[in-house]
Formats: sequence, C-alpha cells, structure tokens
Amino acid sequence: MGNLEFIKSASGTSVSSLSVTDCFSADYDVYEVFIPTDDLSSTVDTRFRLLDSGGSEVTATSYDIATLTLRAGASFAEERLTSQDHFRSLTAGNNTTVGVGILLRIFNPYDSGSYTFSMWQSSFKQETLGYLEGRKSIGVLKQSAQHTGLSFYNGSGTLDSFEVSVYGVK
Amino acid sequence: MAGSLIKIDEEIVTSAVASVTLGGANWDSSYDVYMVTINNVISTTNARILYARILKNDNTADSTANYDRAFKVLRTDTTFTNASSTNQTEFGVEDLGTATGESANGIFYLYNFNNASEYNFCTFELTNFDQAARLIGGQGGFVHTVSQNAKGLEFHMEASDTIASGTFTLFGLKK
Repeated sequence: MGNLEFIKSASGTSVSSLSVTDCFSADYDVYEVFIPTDDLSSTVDTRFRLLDSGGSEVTATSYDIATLTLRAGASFAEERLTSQDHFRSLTAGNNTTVGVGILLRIFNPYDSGSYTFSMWQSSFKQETLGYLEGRKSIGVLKQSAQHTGLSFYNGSGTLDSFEVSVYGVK
Repeated sequence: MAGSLIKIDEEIVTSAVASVTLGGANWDSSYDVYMVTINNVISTTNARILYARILKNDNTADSTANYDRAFKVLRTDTTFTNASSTNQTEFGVEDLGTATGESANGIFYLYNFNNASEYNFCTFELTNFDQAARLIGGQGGFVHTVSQNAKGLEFHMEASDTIASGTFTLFGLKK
C-alpha cells in the first residue's frame, strides 16, 4: 500500500531561520513539503538549504536554480543561477499578512550516491508591485551526499510566521 | 487509516533493462487520476534520450504517431524555451548522460486512462541534470490523441539503449 505519509512539521514566529531536522530517511525517495506561510518580515526572497548528515546547513556553492516567475501585472521573468550557496526565490517576500503558498518537492535527499533535486511552485502577492506572482522552479544540489533536513530563511529580515510540513511519498 | 495515494506498481532498476512498464498487467482501473514518480533515472549510454509511451489495453506500448506535447523548458545555461510538437511516436523525457549526478527526476499525472471515449492526457514536472551537466526540466503536458483505454506508461531509451538504474512508481488517487 502506498501513501503520502506525514513525517513532521515545524513552525516559527519572528525567527531568523527555521530548520526541519531529520525529516529525510531511507524510507522515502520523494518528498512533498507544504509551506502555508502567513507572514514574512521583508520583501526579499525566501531561501532554503539542505542539512547534511550532521544536521548542519550545506553552504557549499553547489546549488543550481532555474525559475520562471509568473506575474499577473507584468511580463513573466526568468532567473538562471549556478553555483549558489542556497536555493532561492521560493517567493519574493511578503511583509503583510496576506499569505503565501508554497509546494516544494525534493528527490533523493538521503541517497549518498546521487545529487539532490528539487522543484517548487508558489503563489503570493508581489507586495512591492501589488499583484499576484508565482514561481515555478527547479533546482539541484550538486553534491552526492546524505541530507537529513531543510533550513529556511529570508534574504533579509525574519520569518514572522512560518510553517513547514514534510510528507514522504511511498 | 489508509491514505488516498495508493501504490499500484513500482519498478526499481538496479541493472540495465531495455524498458520499464508501469501498470500493464498490474494496472488497477479503479481511479480517475494516477501519479507517476521517477527518480534517479540513469542511462547506460551517454547522451541518450529517455522516452515514454502509453501502454495500450493489450499491455504493449503505443508507438503510433499520435503524441502531441507542449511544455516550458527551465534551464540554467540559456534562455527558457517553449517545446512543442505534434504527431510524434513517443514523448521525450530528457537527454541523459552518465557522468556524476546526471539523472532524471519528476512527477507525471495521468488522466482519462480508463475512458475509452477520451484521449489520454498527461501533465508533468521534471528536474534533471542532463548529458551536458546542466540543470534542465520541462513543465507542461502531452496527449495521446486516440480515444482508447490505457494501462500505464512504458519508459525506454533512445536507439534501443538501456536504462542503467532508477525508480519508477505508479500511484492511484483514491476518491
């Protein structure tokens, strides 16, 4: 029997970062991460990193990202980044309580013999410009290593009300 | 309590195979929507495309020229592109390599596979590290423009090459 199995959740209020530790294991290859964020403290993009087998953030410049930004009030935009020290552009930030929704998928994080892949999509109000914006992104952490969790933070400011729930696809 | 994502079939490739079939004899027609995950799929030979086809009611892959596709290609090396074509004999998932980290990963949703009077539709999202060691992935869909029952997907490599490894899983979405 298969399922989408709840693994764990974490939340924080006015925190500089939020980690979800030990959410990856050999029990799953594919994970779905839901982030019904309520409030951030700045209009700088939300970012995340993988946690290594010791629970520390992977800060190596081994993250590649490709993001398509869908905008209700302007032309769509592209972002192509290689050799970053984090995955970025989950959102463009949000300094009000209008909310943000993010679905993040992670592939093979616990497999020490393969790279870790990600994809995410988000929907939020682009606060600076005042219209709906969404992101469709893919990413890879070019590191064949075992990863055990995730750490989220904003490019600046705090995560004022941030909730993360991790599920395994089995 | 049992959940609503029901595993129907899974193929874990650990030594080279010519193709992988998901469903077929194991197909369960109880569902309206199906989900397929592929992860860490690696080619035996460098620079070979991983293809997908619909499995027909007789459990064989449908190679008729009826596959239409349209998707946005996200990539790190250059401007994003639109990929589209009609009347193809298969759907190209990704051009795979054999160097470190080069693999295909993604999720497909299958629609109308149990409805003989409708086409078989598929939406997908892919995140891959391809044969040129670049991050690349499609977001879009394909359709097989024949009104028929279908029983899953078949995956194979270009030029009769083989799939070296990977995990392929089929789920049904229970109502």
